[in-house]
Amino acid sequence: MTVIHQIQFDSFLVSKKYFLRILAALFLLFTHFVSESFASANTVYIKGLGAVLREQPSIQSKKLTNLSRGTKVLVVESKGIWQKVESGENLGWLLRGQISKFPVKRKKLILGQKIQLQSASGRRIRLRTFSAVIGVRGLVDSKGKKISPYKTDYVALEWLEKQPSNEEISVIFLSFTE
Amino acid sequence: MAHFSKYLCLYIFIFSFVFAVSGQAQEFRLRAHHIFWKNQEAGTQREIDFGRGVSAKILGKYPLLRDERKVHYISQIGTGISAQLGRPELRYYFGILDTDEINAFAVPGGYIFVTMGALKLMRNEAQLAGVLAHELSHIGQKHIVRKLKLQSTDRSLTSGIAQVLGSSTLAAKIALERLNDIAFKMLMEEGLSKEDEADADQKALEMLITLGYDPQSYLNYLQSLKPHLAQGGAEVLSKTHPTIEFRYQSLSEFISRHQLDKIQGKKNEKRFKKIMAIP
Repeated sequence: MTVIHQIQFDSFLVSKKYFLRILAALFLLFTHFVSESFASANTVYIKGLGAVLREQPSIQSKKLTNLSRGTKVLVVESKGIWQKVESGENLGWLLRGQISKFPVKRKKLILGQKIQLQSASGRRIRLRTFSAVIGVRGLVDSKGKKISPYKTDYVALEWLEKQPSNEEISVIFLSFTE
Repeated sequence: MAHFSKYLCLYIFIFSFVFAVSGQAQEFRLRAHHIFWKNQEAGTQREIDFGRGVSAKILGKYPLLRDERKVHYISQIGTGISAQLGRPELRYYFGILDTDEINAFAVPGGYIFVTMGALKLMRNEAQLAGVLAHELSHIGQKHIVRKLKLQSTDRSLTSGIAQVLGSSTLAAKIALERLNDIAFKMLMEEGLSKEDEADADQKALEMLITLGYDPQSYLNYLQSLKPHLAQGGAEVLSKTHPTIEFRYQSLSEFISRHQLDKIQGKKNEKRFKKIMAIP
């Protein structure tokens, strides 16, 4: 009985009329999913500070407005390294390096992130990341050989990480022209 | 049987219609997006953890220059570029390595190092911005991470390395340490692919134009590297990067393709020489 069933089902699939119907149904299902992602494919986000919308695709062109980080814009046209975008009432050109396909994420900061790990002797030690722990403890494998042949300097790295930095001030510093 | 097949078609039609019209499809998309997003967030954190380990090894090989004035200058130029054109989720760190060797390194997670030898070779701020932009685009394009197939770009959740990086067991730490060594070797010996370097050069040039710097200065810097590469003053650089001819050629093609040859910009030579104490 089941064999006959199978054969009949197969012939049904092969039958052109029904096959086309199923294809149409699947296509409908597919388009519902894809349509929205196509519609939003042109949506991009301003990823940096100081993005300037210009009238023409040229650096010397007139500035229309400044766009702030995270602004959602719509790409209308692209020409080489320039992209024509629409933002609210403004329509102008941006350089493609200034936009990102994904929404802007929060900044990840490592300072102040301390994780607790158990040392070999059972004493709790506090270090920032587990890679730091390995550097300090100088892990050895089962044969007593040091795992990494390279030297590390986490003290220097921490000095570097403590250096002050401010994005807004740096952008102004960079915009200076002699 | 004929009835069954007719109804099957009908069911598919009805199901697809109801699914799409009701909020189900939207919710499904939102949930998928959320999972992808969470995954990305964790990927960034792992990339930073990973980059710290590699950076510490670079600082173990070359001493860090602790000249606050110079470091602050480089950091301001670099942060200015990264704030506009870098990955907004990362905080970038810029360091100077106290060695006469000519090179610059980009480590995943936002750590960028330039050697004193390279700085001595530079003549203006546009060249410094160009080198930093080249390194920034290695991080922006996740070249090293991609080569190692770390979790942040590998979409599959079951990737072996992803589990290693996420876990905090001793075995995982050892595996991470091994991975750090591979990345360190990549920076010091193997280098990235020719295409990745050409891509970074092109992105750097684009960044210079975006920031109003003179793009020709970057090409001049590449040319000025040539005699030093021949003399062996940049052993690591010549091992890890394609030849200057190749890089120059690919940049020239890029310039002519996008008609960028007439663009001029600032060089800020005085400010650069003042801070770098070049007479």
